[in-house]
Amino acid sequence: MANVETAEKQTVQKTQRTSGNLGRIAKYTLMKGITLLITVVIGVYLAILIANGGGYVDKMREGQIREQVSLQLAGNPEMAYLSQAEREQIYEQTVQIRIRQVGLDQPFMVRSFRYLWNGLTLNLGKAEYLLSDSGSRQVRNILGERLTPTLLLMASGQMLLFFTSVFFALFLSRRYGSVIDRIVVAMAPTSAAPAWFYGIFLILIFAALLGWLPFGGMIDAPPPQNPWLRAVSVLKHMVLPVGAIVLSSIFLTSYYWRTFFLIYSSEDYVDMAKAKGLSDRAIERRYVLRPTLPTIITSFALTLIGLWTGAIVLETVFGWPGIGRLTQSAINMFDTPVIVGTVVIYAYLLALTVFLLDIIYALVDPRVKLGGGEK
Amino acid sequence: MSKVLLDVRNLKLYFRTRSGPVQAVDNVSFQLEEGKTLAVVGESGCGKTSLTKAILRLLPRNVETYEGEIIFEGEDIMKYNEDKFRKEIRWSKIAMVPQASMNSLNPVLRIEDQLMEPLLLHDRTMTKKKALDRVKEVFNIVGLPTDFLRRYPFELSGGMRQRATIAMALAANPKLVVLDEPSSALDLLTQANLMNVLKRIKQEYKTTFILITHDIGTASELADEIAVMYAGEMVEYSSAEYFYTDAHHPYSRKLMASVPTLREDKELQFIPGQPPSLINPPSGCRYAARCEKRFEKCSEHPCTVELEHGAKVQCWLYDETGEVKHA
Repeated sequence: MANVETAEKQTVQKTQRTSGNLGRIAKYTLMKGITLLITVVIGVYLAILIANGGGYVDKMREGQIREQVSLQLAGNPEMAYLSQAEREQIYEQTVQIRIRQVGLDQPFMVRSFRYLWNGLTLNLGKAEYLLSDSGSRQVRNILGERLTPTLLLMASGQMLLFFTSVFFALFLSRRYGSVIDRIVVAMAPTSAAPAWFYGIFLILIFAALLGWLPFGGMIDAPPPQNPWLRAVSVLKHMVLPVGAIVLSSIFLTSYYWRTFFLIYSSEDYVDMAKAKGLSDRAIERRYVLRPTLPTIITSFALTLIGLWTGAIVLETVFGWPGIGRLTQSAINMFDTPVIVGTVVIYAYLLALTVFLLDIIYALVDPRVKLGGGEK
Repeated sequence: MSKVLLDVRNLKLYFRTRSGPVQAVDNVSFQLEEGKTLAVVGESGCGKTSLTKAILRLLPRNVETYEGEIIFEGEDIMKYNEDKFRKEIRWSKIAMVPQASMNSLNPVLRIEDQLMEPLLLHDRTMTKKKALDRVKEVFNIVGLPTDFLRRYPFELSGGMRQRATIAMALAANPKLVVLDEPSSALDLLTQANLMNVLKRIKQEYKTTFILITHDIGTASELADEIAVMYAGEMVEYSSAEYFYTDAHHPYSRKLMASVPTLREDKELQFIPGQPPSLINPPSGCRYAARCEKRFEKCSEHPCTVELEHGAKVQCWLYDETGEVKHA
């Protein structure tokens, strides 16, 4: 009898706790969302301020407009029949129209908030100088066109690097002190040189000297008609840049993960698992990988964010039409909308990843509880 | 007399270091009967923990020498290969409660999963339900409420975690449980509590224990036999009954004199000096430098002599007749 009663009581308590949990999760998610949104807003606004040089870029643009207009008018034969005063009036009028057209007549503070709102709503507008390959001035089209190649290259490279190094590191941590382990440790400093540095040598060896692989670009010119052949052609162009990415960091990341696994495999509970008679594989899975999963996931998520930004120099070295090169030319040409566009997309992706990470953390690590410890 | 469960002969465990091998366990021999509890005492760094590691073959990477015989239930388990040892000895026959056992639970697995794991692993016929029942049973034995099984280790206090670890060691019904300072990180009340739990288990289930401790007082509650280790060697082995009143080795005597007792009024003593380094220890008696009774012969390595009541001592002061010479 007493047992039944306590059991009932427990179920009641449990249901109460579950509904309380749901409320807490909702509150936590909302709070997290708001915090991240504020971060994104601040980040994008700062990017707008910086990309406009605090309004200085606008002065330069005004100067450019004046120059264009005066050239335009000077080339117009009708202007020759007008008096000096009339000419100046027309000139001034045209300039004002153009300035109003691009919105330069409003004070910078007002405009910066309009940029902010447009940016946040992904209403990215038109680029000032850059064109997409298909000739569009829409920032969205320009970015969209460049995103795919960057993702293709960076995702292949970074994923390959990440998974190879984690599994290689597990292998190394099992063979601590062996010859191969020592070689990897000794080779770790080679990662001080960036990927494009290795890229140059790879091009020299495999493209210039041996002629096995193309020098750069993304596809043969002209592109093959058959979709299969086209894929093969892209793959062929990817080998060297991906190779450069992997080669430049494999030793350092393997070294890092190997040390990381070594530290965690000297935990007391790993010894205990061994004493319990678990096989080495079970120990590795449940007692080394499982408790370190949050750290591995964080690292992986940060790698994912890094993919979107591309690699400016590497893309330049390999002539790869990615977002890294786009960002660089946008910065060189003061193309504010494009710069802000990349920053907005990047900020949103970062916030989203952090948001997902927090939730995944709570799932994989019981020590991380949603929303404070009040009970 | 009941039968001998564990017979350790000339066990050696040396570690490799830059400055030479560390002789953590050197020529240790002893016998332990079924159902008895052996307390291994000695100061820090004398090789107590290394002895447990050697028995359970939980060796670090830098082992230089690992030899001798460990005869368990009549078979030399040192001859087992790694796989056989893991499957047939670990946990199902010999279990352990490690030092700092509060950290020996995986932080991200539920306690019940960790306790059931070895059961399911070692017994193919075991079902999840049977394993859970057994786990609940051992939780009751160590005095923990069974609804704690669903929790994660961080939700338990240190003392509870320690008990959960002991429950884990008992779960598979091992013949021998090695407890490595199970209570050293706990407050006195929790310690006393834990000792009572262990005592009850010993009486009810006739489990054989090896209790490693530096606390001779705690050891007295549980031990049938006492082994004193000094600088990697086992210098005295005697039954607890006689050890507390009549220890033989000068080191054991000093050790006893340093323990406060309730009933008699005595001045506590200390042992001057420090134990020798285990890298290149003195070739003679390792305790000689600190011994009050040393004489010329102490520069040679003493043999182990057997005295009355089955006591064994490694000291030149005694010979087979048990007479105390030069005292």
